Amino acid sequence: MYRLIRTIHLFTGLGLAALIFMYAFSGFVILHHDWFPGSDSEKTTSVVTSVVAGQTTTPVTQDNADVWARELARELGLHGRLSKRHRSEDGLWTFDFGRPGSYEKLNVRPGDEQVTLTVEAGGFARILDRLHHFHGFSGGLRFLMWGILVDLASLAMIMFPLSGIYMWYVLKKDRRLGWLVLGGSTAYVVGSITFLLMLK
Amino acid sequence: MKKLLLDIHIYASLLCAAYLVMYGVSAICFNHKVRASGEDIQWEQTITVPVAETDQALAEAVRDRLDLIGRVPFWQLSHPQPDQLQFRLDRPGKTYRLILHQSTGVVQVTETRTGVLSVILSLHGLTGIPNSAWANTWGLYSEISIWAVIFTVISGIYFWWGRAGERRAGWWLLGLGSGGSVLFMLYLVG
Repeated sequence: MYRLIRTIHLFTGLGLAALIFMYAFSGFVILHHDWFPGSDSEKTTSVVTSVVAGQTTTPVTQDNADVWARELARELGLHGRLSKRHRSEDGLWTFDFGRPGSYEKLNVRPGDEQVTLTVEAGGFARILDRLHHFHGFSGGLRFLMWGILVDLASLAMIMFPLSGIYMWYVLKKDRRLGWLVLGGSTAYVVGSITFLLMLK
Repeated sequence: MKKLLLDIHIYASLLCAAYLVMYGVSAICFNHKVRASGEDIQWEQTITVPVAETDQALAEAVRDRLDLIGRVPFWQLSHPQPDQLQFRLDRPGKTYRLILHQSTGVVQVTETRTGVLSVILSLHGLTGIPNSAWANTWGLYSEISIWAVIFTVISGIYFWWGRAGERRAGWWLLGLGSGGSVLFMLYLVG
């Protein structure tokens, strides 16, 4: 049993090492964002030409807006996930596309080939921050794959400590220090949650 | 040397085990958009209205007079009536919506208890809460846990490297799993 658990612990650890490392390191960058370059975003706005927008003659409604937005994104080379959409009273559509590292906002009117594109690009710290927080499964195959990786990393965060505790218990004859460390830290976490629940 | 590293690997892991489990649970909840909901309790208290130059400072002073902890989001400050200041106060496990009647000093509070899941979700990235000494200790624990995770990942790879019999399979997993996820992260960002 010990050998099996150790093998699973080791091999899943190797497979997920980069993801776990990324979450830990980006967590550190988030805690100390002023120590790292690129915590601000740079915003640029430009007017670009869209054949798709110019040739749109059928009305764009809430039902077909997502399909239209994806066509526009494909044409203009926008790679983010469609996160928000809004139609103003005068018929101007706004689409937000997001991915770790940048946000793209598109202001477009059906039938008008002139569209306004605002790109907000982050530096090193900002990219890691967004990578750390990027989650969910919607928006296409690569975002679905990312969502699955996030789940795997999250499950690993649960399974590694549990398998590690098992291995410590089997491996160590003198468990006093281990009980002290594990008991103390677990009591602190459970106590913190209880404290926040009970507090006025 | 290896024994010392293994001991640090084990005890660092035991130190952050509870944090990691909590972190994993909250990350799954975020990924699947599981949100906590709560129930409202209403109460009111009369205070001496503090003197403050800005709405933000006034809201924070009212929070202090009521002996509450939490952050006052600046975008939630408003004046529904000329003599009323309405604001929100957030902390893990609770959200307060407060209305200060500036002429009388009466503060109406709607308190929403959001439960265990909300506390766990909030603790995920918590580094501090105004008026709470405890929250600073949580920030320290988070910091230690992050260092522990970084150390255990690196030392784990080192231990694997020391086992000649598992090197070939390990290379495959490291290359396909970790190498693949690095490339995928670059693709997602680029």
